[in-house]
Amino acid sequence: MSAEASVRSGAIRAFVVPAAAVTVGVGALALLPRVHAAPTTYASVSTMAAIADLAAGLVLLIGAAVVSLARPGHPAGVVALLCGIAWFAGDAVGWAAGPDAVRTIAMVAAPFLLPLVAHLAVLVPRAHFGSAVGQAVRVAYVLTVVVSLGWALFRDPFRDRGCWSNCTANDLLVVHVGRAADALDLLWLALVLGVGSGLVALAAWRWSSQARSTSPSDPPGGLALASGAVFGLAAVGWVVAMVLRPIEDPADPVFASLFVLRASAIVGLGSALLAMVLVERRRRSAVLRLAADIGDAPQPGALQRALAAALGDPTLTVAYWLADRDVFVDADGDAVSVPASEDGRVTTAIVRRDEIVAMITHDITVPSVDVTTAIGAAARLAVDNERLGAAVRAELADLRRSRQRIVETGDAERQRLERNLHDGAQQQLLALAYEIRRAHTTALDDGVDREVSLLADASAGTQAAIDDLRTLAHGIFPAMLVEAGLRPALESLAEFAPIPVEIGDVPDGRCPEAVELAAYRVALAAIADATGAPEAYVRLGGHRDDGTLVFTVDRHGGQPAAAADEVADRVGAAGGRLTLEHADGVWSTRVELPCG
Amino acid sequence: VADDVMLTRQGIVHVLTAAGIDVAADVADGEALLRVVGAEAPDVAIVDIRMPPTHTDEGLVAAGRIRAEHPDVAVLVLSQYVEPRYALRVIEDRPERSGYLLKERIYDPAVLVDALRRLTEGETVVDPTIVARVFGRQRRDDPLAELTARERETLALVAEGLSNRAIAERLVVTERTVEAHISQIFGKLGLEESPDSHRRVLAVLAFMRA
Repeated sequence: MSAEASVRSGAIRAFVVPAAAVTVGVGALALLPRVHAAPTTYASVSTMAAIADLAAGLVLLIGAAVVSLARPGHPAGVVALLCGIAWFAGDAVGWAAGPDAVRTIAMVAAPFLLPLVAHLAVLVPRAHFGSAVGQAVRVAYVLTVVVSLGWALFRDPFRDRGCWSNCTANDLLVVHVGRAADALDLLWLALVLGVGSGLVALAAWRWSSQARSTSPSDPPGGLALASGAVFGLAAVGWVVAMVLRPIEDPADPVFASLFVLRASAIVGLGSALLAMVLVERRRRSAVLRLAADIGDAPQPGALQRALAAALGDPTLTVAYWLADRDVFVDADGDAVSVPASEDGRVTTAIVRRDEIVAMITHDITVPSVDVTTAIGAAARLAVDNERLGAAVRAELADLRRSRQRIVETGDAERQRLERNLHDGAQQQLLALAYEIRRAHTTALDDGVDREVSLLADASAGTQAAIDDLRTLAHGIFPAMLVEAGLRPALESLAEFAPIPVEIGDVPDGRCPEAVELAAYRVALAAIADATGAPEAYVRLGGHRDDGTLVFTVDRHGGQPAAAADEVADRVGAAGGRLTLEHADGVWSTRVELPCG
Repeated sequence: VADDVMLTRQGIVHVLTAAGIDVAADVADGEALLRVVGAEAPDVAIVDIRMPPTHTDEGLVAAGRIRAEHPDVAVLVLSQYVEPRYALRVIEDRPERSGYLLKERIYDPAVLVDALRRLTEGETVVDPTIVARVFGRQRRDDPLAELTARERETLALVAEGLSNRAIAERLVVTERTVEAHISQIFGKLGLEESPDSHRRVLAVLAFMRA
């Protein structure tokens, strides 16, 4: 069916079903007192039965009308209307003084109450049952057609030993076939038994699975299934009663009780329809309040939380599409994958000006139309707001990663340089020093004083070069840091430093290299800043705290930090935080870095 | 002799041979070193601190294994690092017959031969530059401030691993004078005096690094 046709049929239903429901209801109110004049209906037996009969049918018809008005597209409206007609048909069959034609039609219609009730009980819940359930309902319809038409064509009620409500009227009778009628009676008993026990089983299965699942609660659906189960129990009871005493007698307390049970089940079904409309109304108004709930300055993820609350689905997630980066992100800007529709989850695309702006993944029982309405009506600004926020956060995360890469590349390069200096230049200098020393020895042996003094100078010069190179390499990259960790590297630094460096409770354990390097640089910068100032010294401390390395550097003396930005950048690139305080000539730096 | 840089290795072998020392084998990595130490049972193994495969502390690891598996073999670790931590790692579990020297030191045949002699005699050898680094550390309350220049000199020689007799020779005094000096220094610093000359190396270095 095309969308347009579907809309049109919905509009027709919105008008026709309520009109038909009102007609049937008014007709029933007008005719029932006359119908119940003779004791050929359940309602005629007692006032209570009459009230139950009328209440059940009317509640069901009201439910049909309300559902059709509120949700013209929902099939429950039509099914409920037909169900109501079938319910009152049961009365019309026993209208002793009524026209035969009416009683005949009613006789054909009344059995359909059984499959219609089953159908309605599975239509109201938002959960989708397996195709087997739909198949079973269709089979029930077909078998009811067989039984109902079979009776009409081949059973003369006058010759039916078990007749009670209608023993005369059958305008459709072709020929009475006693065996066929008996076979149909048996088939009917089996059908009633099957559908009745099926309804009970379905409700039981639903309750046990709902206890385990996270799907949103659905009170109307539960009520419908429970009513179906009550109807099923009454149906099974009726079959048992029919087997025990083959003639149905409305005055018999057992049959009368079963009737009241059926009527209450029908009332329950009608109430479930009204509850369904009510719950949906509440959800709609919650969705309309969405913008207000999100507030003026929403936190990231506020939209997802508000939508989840409004639609009653705690598992709902929102993913924003960033077209220029070709990626879905969550409200925090982290890339996410949008799951395919499967396993009870559905993904609804939110489209604006022909472009996808967001994907909302939600429970299959939340109608997609509600989701789009929720977004379309009130939360338009919130979507844009959150999407922009997510884009900025994704951008920030990228920048952070790129900063980290730049720092890491620089460090790797410095480390390589340090190795090259040690393993290349220094080794060659050592070899040179050795050659000079050998020449020096030879010169001494030969007694050439000029060469001896020249070579002695060269030897001293080479040693100075070796020392300089060593200092340079150490400054370029602290090899000890990578090999032994922060504390040993700081101890080495302290022995090397031109000012006193006191090492307090610096933790011994290892942290990621970038983190150790960042902390080391903070100490190095403080030493550089303090050097030259009179009486200056630096005190290092810190502790490990639940995945965080806290490192403190108290610099006594010196001017404001020279390379504060560079150090802060490094700490930031390693994912940490730096705070700086100054009091009484002490510059206190505290860094918190992720470790562990 | 174990060093992965051929130039250096040949230089060391040359210096040793020239000084009349018998070189049993020269190898380029720690594994090979352990094999030849097992096979040749030399008096001393000279080990470069950085060797393949990772060029970090293979030399220290190899030195540790020699100390454990061949306790009679003295170990001299050569390094380009003035890192007291490395030196301590070499001598801390067995100070006797263990030494740490900077690479440039060994091209002076006198220094190298002296170090090897001391090691084979059961002494400890710590490079003077390392000791100078430890002693030269900037402090707010320097314990060395209480010592006289002569006492500081003596303490440094103790930290280098020299015996009382060697210190006496170096300072041109009698052994008894040295003993008295050391006793006074240890008293001033609150260190417990150990008759064992290599244990006191550790004590002094650890004290000065604390």
